[in-house]
Amino acid sequence: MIGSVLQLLISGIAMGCIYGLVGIEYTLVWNSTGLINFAHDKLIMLGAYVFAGTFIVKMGVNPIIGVLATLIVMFLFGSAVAIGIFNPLRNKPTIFAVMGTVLLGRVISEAVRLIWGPTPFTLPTFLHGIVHIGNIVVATANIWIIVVSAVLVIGLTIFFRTTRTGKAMRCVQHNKTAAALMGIDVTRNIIFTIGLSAMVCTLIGIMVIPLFTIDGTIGSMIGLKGFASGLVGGFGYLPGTVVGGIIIGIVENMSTIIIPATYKDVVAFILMVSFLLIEPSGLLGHGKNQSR
Amino acid sequence: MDMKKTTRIVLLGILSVGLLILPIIDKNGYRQLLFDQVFINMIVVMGLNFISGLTGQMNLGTAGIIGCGAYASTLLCMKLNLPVAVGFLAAILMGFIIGQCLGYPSLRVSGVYLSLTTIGFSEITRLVLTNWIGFTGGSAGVPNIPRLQLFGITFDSAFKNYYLYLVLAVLLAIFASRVVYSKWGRAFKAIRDNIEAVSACGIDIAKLKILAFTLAAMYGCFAGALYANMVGYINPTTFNLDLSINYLVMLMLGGIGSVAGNIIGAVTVTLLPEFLRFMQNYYWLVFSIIALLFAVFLPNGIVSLFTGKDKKAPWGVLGKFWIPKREKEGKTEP
Amino acid sequence: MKTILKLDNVVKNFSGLVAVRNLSFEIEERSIHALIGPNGSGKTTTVNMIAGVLPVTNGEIFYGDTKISGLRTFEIARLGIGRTFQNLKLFGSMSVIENLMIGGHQLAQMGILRFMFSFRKAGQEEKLLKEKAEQIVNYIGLYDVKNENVKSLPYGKQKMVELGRALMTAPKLLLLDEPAAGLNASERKKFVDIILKTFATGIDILLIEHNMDVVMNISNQITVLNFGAKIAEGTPTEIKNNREVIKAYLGDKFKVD
Repeated sequence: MIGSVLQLLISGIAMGCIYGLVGIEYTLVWNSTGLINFAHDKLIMLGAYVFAGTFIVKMGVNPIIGVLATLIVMFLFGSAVAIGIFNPLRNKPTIFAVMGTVLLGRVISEAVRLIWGPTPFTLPTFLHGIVHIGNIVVATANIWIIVVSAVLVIGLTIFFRTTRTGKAMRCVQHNKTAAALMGIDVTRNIIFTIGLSAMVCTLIGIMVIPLFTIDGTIGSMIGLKGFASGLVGGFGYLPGTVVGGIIIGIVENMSTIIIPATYKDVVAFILMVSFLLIEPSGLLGHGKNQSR
Repeated sequence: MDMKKTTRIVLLGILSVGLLILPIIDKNGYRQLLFDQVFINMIVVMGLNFISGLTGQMNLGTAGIIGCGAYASTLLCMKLNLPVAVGFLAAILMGFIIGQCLGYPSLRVSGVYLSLTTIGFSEITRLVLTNWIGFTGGSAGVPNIPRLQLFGITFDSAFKNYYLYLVLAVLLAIFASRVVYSKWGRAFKAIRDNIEAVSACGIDIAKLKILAFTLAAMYGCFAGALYANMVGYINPTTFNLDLSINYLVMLMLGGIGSVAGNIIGAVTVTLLPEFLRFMQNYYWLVFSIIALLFAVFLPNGIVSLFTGKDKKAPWGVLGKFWIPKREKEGKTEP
Repeated sequence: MKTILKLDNVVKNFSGLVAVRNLSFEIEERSIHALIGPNGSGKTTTVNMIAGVLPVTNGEIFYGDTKISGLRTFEIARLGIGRTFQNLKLFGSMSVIENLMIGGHQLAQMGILRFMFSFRKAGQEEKLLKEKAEQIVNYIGLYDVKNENVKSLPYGKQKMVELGRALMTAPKLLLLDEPAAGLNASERKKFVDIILKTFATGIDILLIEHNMDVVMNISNQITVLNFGAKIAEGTPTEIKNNREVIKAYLGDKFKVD
């Protein structure tokens, strides 16, 4: 009994790390542009497809090289999208900004379907297998997810605190006018931020390949639930979204002990709506997160 | 101007006659269903216009609203053996309730937060409809939905539905138009333009936001009931986020705010697949790109081409033939 | 003279920052009352509290016999207190006349249900509203631009529209937040004329203003704030020679001869 609860806990934490990463990527975009990236779930999907579809299946490259190559490609794609779409949308009223990113997601989704075909597939050997920790059986993928997420969060924190680019990005997030006056190229920063966010999406996509089949919907639920992590943990506040994501992952999994497993997906949305209505700035949120 | 008025009356006349004889000329069953769908979509978009167009409150939960209307009317009739017309009324009531409930979150959150709340509502609705198999039939859906019987006619074909839906759409368009050009329409737009100044005019913003949501939900739920009646079968997978986005695209493409824009948007987006059929596989991609370009470059929609907003642009000349009467009286935003 | 507005020991605290401290003053009927003070002295905060936009942390505000501190903004507006905003808040997608008609929203009382079924009554109410708006647009001198979009107007005319909109709410007390700011000399004169004309029709005025010419010329009572507290009160002549006031505006070292 304890064994299965612990298993639920660990896979919940792993999934929660994924949600937390989603929270990070859209928080990056939100903080720098004030836009919610409604295309992020499609970016996750694109990352998975580029990695699995092209580098692995088509080109048969070594996975590590595949990951790096995908990251580079996606960073470039993210930057292009930032210039072409996010930048013009920044100053428009909310409804157009939302529609813009949503439609971008559609375009990506369709392009993927046309390029790689609609047939779902899997990568049976990627991050495959299980590990025994004492009595519990843990999927290797989950361990990878937790480890990579931790490394990524630490890496990003260091990046933001110590490097010039990172600090410049934080300035842009806080106050664009002041940043510009300090000589920081705000637009270039925004482009870089979105490129970075695209890379995070890519990592998410790659890491969930062992958990789901690769098809047009990989990323949809993750993306939507990812919104919840920011709301639960602290919208616009990086550590907050990570915490929020993990909470959702755990609660979602543990809830299957009490309620029928088919309703598991509803849990995240109920959490999201509850926090939206009761405490939109989340558990760790700061007052600076105005509703837009 | 007399010339303009005569032109408009003639054009309207041709349009009306065309609409009335369309299903007689084009007997293709599939296309007749498509026309029915156009009317349903018009109704949804006109409703969505109240809340997202005029009042500027982001609503991504349209699918959930339509789904509730479809299921409410259907389940009520089938489980309690009531006439379909009662189901339609129940859908409207359902819309009223949803509107009142959805209105409250909009008082506390706005913008992106509100979009997330409406998505949350829509997804929860879809998931419950899918998983409460005992009550809703789950993802198998509800088949064999009884058809509407009114004035002794059974509306069991796309042809008959066409005229019914045409009448309903026209009536609802007239009402929507009246609201848009009334003090409520102005107040809705004021909330969108500068919410802080609205209270200073003595207007109770809360009441107005809830009113906007209620109108949107009533229109949406009613459209859901019509949809169930048209197809005869409903299932929860139809009512997903993609559907909500489609309706917003119709709203945006046509032109936010004006009922004419709503109609144009609904017609264009619903019928476009038929005209772009030759693109086969690429249709959806091309359409999404077009929509994306609209969002970035022409966010005020097709209608803005006609209202002479951009007086220097070459298409401003179209305004000479069609500027709605309101323009002359100085309402610069239709 | 009857008191129409009374602030009683009003305090406004923004989590630690005290913007307004124990402010008490009264506005008498038939007066143009000015509220002046250096930047940051709490003038706009005070007006926002009167209008109900900001809640009062402590103390009470009375409008006539009614306690208005604690009421919601639109309720206070309906009681007869109109206002303009320091940074104009016009409705940018609509024309001058439409902006005015929104100000008159409450004049038409019909509910939406009746509106649905009663075409004639609805038309009548709309017509009345339009007539009142045309009256006001004439009054503020913008008849020839009444159908223009407000954003296309020069700043001075936009300010007039905002004033007109406030007048449409049929106020008995008008709160004007820096009406002269950003105007050139001739626009200012026009505005002052309208304010005086409005006063003459029976509407009382509370004015926040930095422009001393305007303040000294048209107000009959002045309250001076500094750092959120009242430091002086009196007629223009009294205030002009008040040591504390001069010190607050010009600094300690300035000598009055």
